Amino acid sequence: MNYTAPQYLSGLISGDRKVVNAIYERFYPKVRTFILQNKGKEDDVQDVFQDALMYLITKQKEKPLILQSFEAYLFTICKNVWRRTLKKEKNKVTNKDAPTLVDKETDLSLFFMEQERLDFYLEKFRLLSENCREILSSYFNGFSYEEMVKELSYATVNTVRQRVFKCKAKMIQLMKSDKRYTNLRS
Amino acid sequence: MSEEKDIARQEQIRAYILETLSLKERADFEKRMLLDETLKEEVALERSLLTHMNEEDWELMDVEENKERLNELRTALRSEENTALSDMIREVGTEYRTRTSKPVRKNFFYAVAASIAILVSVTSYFMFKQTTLETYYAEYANWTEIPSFVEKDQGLNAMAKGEVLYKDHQFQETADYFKEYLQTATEEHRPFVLMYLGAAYTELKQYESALNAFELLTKTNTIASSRGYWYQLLIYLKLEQKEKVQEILAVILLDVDNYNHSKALELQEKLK
Repeated sequence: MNYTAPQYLSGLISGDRKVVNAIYERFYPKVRTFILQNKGKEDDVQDVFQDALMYLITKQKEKPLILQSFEAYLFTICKNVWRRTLKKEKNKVTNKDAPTLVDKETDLSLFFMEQERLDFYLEKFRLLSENCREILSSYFNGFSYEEMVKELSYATVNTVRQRVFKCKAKMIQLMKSDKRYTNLRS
Repeated sequence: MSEEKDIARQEQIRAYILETLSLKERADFEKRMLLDETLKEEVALERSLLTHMNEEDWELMDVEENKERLNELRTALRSEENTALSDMIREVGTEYRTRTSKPVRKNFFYAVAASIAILVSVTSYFMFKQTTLETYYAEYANWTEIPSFVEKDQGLNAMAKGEVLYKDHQFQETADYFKEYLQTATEEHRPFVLMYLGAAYTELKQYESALNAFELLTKTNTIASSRGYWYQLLIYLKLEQKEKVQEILAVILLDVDNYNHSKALELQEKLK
């Protein structure tokens, strides 16, 4: 059975088994492939999928989501839950900023807040010019100035430095002028 | 402050975060942070952006950050309603995994069963009498027993349309229709599309295409996948391909939950 995004969401919050089953049948295989290809195991897939669905339920109950594609949104949330799991694992191994042991609901609430912060950053990022988005995307993903000169066809390193500075300043200004900023960065 | 100075300050912050400063530079920078609250905030924000906006990374928050929001979310998640939803989702997930993990096990056994079947078929090759297999085909083949979309209330008008064509014996039209439909069929619909497609090809005597469709059916990771083996068996009976009949029979007999397991057992006895 094919459902629309609002039907999936209302089916989820009303606990409609048929809808939940359709979500598993339709979307679980793609998430499974992604996680298994990114250092995960079968049990991880189940946990990630469960957390992502609970995230959607909580989010939808707070404020109804307007989604163009349920599949794309669910997949992004699953990917982020998995990014987070890998980060926690990494911190455990390196013993760097080892996360405090917390119960399941606290952990999912923390993910919720982290996702909110990311959504806020992305919202402001999307308001930038295409050129700024391109250069900052490289900057945030760890490219050096020299690599950016080559990849983005800039004349000199100095031009890249100035562009990064200006674009980042613009993004920060957009963030700080939003009243949600204080709450998200407290 | 000039723009160049601002840029240099930002770069030093980044270098501090990426740990590329020398020990002395690092110590000096940390001393400055103790005295300069603005610098400390700038470092925190830059770290947050560099981590959270990096697609390979994730910024973890601490329980001490924004306790009010944390409590609000935690309370919502612990509510009776959400706990019940969480339990239901886990239950559906477990059912789904149980249902779909079975064919994987079968695929593993398939290889083993196939090798055994080859050995068995070599020794029993001459035990089959000529024309016997097609007789069995006539006995077992029933291409009208494919699940109906209408009866099963799949709510699929598009699927039901193909079913009507099939029931009207318009097999070429059925095949064309479902071949097209297969391109966009959901995971849930795919097995049914493949059943009708394979059955239509069988009726059209296009056995190779039918076998392909049923082979795809066995790989759908759904409860209907084992039907694929049974339908393949029917075609091999029709084609009187004795070795293949033995191979597929061996696969069906591996699991009592397989579609028509008892009929396969019965057929195996008859073939002895």
